[in-house]
Amino acid sequence: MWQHRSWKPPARVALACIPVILILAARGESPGRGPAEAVAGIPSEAEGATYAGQAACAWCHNVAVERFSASPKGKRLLEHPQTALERQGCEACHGPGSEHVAALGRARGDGFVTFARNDPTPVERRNAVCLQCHQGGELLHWQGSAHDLRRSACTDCHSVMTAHSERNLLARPTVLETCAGCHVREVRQHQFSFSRMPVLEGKMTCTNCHNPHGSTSERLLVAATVNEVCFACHAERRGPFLWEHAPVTESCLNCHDPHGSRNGAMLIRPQPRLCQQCHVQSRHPSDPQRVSATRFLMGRQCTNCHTNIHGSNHPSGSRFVR
Amino acid sequence: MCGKCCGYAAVLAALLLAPGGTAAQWPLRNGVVHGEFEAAWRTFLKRPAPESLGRYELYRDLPPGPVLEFGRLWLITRDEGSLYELRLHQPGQQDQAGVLRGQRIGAFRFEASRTQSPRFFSTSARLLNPVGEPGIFPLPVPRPPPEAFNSAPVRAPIGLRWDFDRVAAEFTPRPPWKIEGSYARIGKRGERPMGMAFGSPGNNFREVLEPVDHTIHDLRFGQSLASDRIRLNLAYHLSLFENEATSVVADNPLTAADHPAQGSSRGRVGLAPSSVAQGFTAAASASLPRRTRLNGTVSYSWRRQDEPFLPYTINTAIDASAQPISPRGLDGQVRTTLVSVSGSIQPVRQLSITGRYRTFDFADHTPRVVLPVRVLSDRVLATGEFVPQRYPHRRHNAGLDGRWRLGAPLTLRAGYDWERWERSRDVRDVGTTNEHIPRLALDLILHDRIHARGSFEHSNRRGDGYAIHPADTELATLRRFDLADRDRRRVRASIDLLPWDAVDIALSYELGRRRYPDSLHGLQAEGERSVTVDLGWTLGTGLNVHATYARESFDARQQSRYRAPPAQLENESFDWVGITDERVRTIGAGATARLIPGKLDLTASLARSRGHVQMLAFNPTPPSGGTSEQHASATAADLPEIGHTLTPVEGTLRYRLSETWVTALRFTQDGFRRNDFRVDGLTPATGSDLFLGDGLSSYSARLFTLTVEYRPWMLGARTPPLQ
Repeated sequence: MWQHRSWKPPARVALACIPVILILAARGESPGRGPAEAVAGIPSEAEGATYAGQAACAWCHNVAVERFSASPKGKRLLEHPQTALERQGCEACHGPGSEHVAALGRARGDGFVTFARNDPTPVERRNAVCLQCHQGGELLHWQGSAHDLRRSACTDCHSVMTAHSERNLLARPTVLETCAGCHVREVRQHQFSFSRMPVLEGKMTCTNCHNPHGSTSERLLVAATVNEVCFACHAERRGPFLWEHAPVTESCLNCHDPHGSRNGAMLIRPQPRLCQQCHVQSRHPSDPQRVSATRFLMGRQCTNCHTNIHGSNHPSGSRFVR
Repeated sequence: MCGKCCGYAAVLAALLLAPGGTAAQWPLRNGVVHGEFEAAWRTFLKRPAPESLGRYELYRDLPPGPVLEFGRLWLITRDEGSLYELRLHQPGQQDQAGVLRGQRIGAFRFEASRTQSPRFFSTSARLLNPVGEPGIFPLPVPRPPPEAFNSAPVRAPIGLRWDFDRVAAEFTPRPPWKIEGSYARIGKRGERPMGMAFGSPGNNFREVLEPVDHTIHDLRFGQSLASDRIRLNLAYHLSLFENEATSVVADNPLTAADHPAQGSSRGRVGLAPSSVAQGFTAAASASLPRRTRLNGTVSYSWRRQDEPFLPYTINTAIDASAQPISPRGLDGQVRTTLVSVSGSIQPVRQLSITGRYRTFDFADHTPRVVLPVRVLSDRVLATGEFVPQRYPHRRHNAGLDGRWRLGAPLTLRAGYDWERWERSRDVRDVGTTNEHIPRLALDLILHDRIHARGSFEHSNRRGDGYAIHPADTELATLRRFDLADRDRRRVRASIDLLPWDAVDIALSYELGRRRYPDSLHGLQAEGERSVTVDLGWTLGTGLNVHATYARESFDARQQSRYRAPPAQLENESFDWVGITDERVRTIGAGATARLIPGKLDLTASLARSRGHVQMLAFNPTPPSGGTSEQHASATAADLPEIGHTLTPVEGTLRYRLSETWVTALRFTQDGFRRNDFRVDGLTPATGSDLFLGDGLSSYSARLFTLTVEYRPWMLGARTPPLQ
């Protein structure tokens, strides 16, 4: 007999781990920040490098500095720094530049992070630059997340120096276009599916459901489960109902593909076959159905009658027809 | 009307201001106000017919004439530390949006926004009588003949409008402590098609409209603290769902008299009950030596629903009042708990290891309800003990991933995941399932010229014995796909090639298969396969072309058995196999050309996506051993193909009038063709049933849009948008 109140040992261990994390952190050694590691160890390969100052950067990169200084992030780093790190201006992200300046910008592999396409700096070190400041909030679960494990660079999706998007410094004009760089199939589904969400119209986007910076859920969802993501907008499906439909209770994905579908209502399979996968009761659910069977095959098919298929609160709604 | 006014005003302003080419800046005492906008004039060469306009517009509003596509005003304070912005998209239209936001660097940020989104279901539905109150669908006595329904007037567009209002603020009292909160209100108003089954005579049903008057209040509050060593997030979330409509009542088109056994003159369907959900989340993260990171999250939420029940039936010939419903409402309570811990460590530079464990508990604390009566479809009274089932479950996930960088170009990833579901055997066919998922992936990056990725995943899910619930009237050999034993494998491969700086080639392949080895009946196998080729070519400095080709297929095989009433005739020759075959092929091409450098640009794209779905069916052995009627019913046959084709074409010619003024002429063609035997040519009165008759209509639309834009920031001026 399954009892939902009992907590299994793994869950108890997991729960106990959380205070341990906090204690370890409180006692643990802080990531080093010596003189050569002023940027959280990022320019550690630039042994002996020192900060060259903003003027040195502008000497060669005047156009880029001017453009960056007009952006909100530029205004923060160059004009309104809030922390000691931000006071380093360009070198807050690129690292101490004295070696770079001395080599007249020609040397590669000098530990200076340029973020250019041909920059040999490993992705982990490049990302660590951004994580110096962006490590709380939505980025709490970045390390070990799907994108981190795939060695995705922050600069694959974000463009700090030039604004391509209205918000969030994306490398492309919209979230959808940014995600399309890798998730071609899902974006194509949104573009060409018969049944889809209003993503192309800009009424919602990938980040309404997914947190690309990591989460505790499958597929980088923004909530604990698929259903909780869906219920944010479709709260009418939340219940609890008097008569529940078990697969609906567990996951909307049992029947729907939120990226779009060739079938109505974003169903993963056309009706009546979708319902017939699980229902072989007598009469019509077990009937293969022919074109003449209008009631079961035409219009909204099974949901012509089983209207409240997501759950019913009607006392006579056991078969979801009321 | 309001949209047109905004549009006329914007177009007039554009005509007056554009030739001057002056920057829209207004100095104030404390800062400077800037502005930008895009005004447009839409002219249809071909507009879809009214019956297909709903499908064409679907989530948008595209009236011809003038429109302010976009307008924005923003203020930057003199110290350049604060920005305030007002942004409008298509004001006055059904799909308008606006946002007001501001920020003080390092101190606060706020935002208030409104987004409207129409959602059309159809523009060709036929309803005989005008609807009185929302959700009431009366018919005259005596009931009209079928022809009257077929010649009923077309109902105005059936659809919803979603209004999404949100205010959000973020405040930094003292870095790194940050407080944030938001309130969102989602309003859904309108109607959508729904069915009402009457069960008699002849199991008939009628399509009517569900009134939608939903409001969701969503409140979130959180604070976070982030330092070098530790990060903490605390959050609270409240979601209130209110449904103003409780039921839909529709008259039975085939009978005007209530009868205790042969049907009701009308039916009543209950609508989604109002409910509330709230929850707390606490998350912590700690950084330790050796690039070690530990994360922990605890989340607890509860949902409650206690709307009063409707009566058992609306049929006046059935007296169910002797069996009052107790309690008055469900008092439904669901509590969910999530506990998650994860850790990652990089013991050496080339190797990083990540481990995680997560458990999600869905506990249903709804009190047990015993209903002494049931009236299916307001038709026949049945007495007994009807006990609605609850479906509590718990899910555990654990995983370990290792990433090993084998020199600069090559990275190997290996991982193992475990997933366990625990369900109640009292209500489900399987108690516990365990799935083991090992996987392997390889990334190769060579000189920024070749980027190849490949991954393989194989998993087995096994349960602790499948047993159809005794109270269930299902076949004993049925295996439901979400509970059944399953073997799954997935292969993904992609390669990005940059043979020359001007040429970019991307190829990707994906194959997924899922087999259900013990499923004699039910879903037995399913899978998908896709191949995509993308090509980009830069010809000189002024011309870019790109092309794409994608081919996808999805298939599923299921086995069922026709089981004829009145006896449960378990005849193996009545088995039938259903195969669902779906294929989608998409081709596309586009180009960007700089016709006159710095002055005239052309962008063009076209695509064609054709998808078809076919439900095939056959009997492994010819039906035998029953009556001829049963044989006819058990004989499976293919159903006609369902297909749809989308052909979007777009071309834009942009001419730069000055540094900040741009005019553009855009041509858009949308083609949509759908054939679906399930809705094509469906007349309202079909047999004893009554449909809305709102089949999907194919359409073709051609639209010219002339725009005038003033956008200083896009042309390299100093002021970009708010980030």
